Amino acid sequence: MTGTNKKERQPLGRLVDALVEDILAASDEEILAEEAAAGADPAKTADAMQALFERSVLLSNKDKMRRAKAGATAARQVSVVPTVTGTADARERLRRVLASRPADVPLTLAARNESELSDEDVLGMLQDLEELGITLPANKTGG
Amino acid sequence: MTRAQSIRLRRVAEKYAWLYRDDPEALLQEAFCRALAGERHKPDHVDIVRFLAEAMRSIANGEAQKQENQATIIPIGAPGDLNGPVIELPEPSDGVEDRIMTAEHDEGIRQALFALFPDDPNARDVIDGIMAGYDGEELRALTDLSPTQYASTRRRIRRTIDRHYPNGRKP
Repeated sequence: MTGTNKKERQPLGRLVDALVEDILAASDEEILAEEAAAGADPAKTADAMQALFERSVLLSNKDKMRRAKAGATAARQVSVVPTVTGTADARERLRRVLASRPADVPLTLAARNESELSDEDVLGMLQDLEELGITLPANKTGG
Repeated sequence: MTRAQSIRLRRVAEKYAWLYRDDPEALLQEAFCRALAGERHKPDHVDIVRFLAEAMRSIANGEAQKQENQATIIPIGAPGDLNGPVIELPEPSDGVEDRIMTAEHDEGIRQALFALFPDDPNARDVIDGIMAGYDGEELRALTDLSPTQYASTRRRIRRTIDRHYPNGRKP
């Protein structure tokens, strides 16, 4: 028999709900007087509550940051997947990107010999270029 | 947040933790975090302490529900066949034995609470009434108490339970 059994909670749960209702309905003076009568320091209780709230804010902010990072990573992962429909398309796009480079930017030996690159290398280069922020034309006519 | 609000919040957390045998601070922190994350919307007219109290109730209730939903699986094999395939069936949670144990446990809690009020029949009547599902004016009328007597009896119950269970119930 555990203390979390639903049937156990029903009668006891009603009692706890009633006790909570009474706590919420009690006046501030009454609450402060009860706290003092129990030997507790209301100022310390308030400080502890403030500290707990601040810890919760910190936790909440960390969680938001974690979610934002995860979202950004997911978005990046989506954007760096080259939108190619096949290896021929990928090679064509790579050739166009390389051809459209500024005149003073030299090509590496590997890039110059595009026809000798494996399909995997071509896709890797396209991905690297996208990660560098080089926008690839969507298709031959799209520019 | 005022001092009185802080004390109220802590005491509400203790009450729900008392019921669900949870940690009051963890319960409160979770309520804060959910409110900060905007998971629960606080209408302008709702008091912040009441809003967080409801959040704690819901969190504690949800945790307890999760535990209940973890059904116990009992393996059933063919009679006399120790090596054959075994079928696993969820154990029925509301068996006769379970119901008897629950009833005995409920009665145990009721008696433990009654023992806190040996010379206070009004308090015992009110506790009985609340646990049976009555509240408010209906309960007051049933117990034949005046509004003042009823209010002071409920206050007495709350203070007595607080005094006897300062750290919640033990499993």
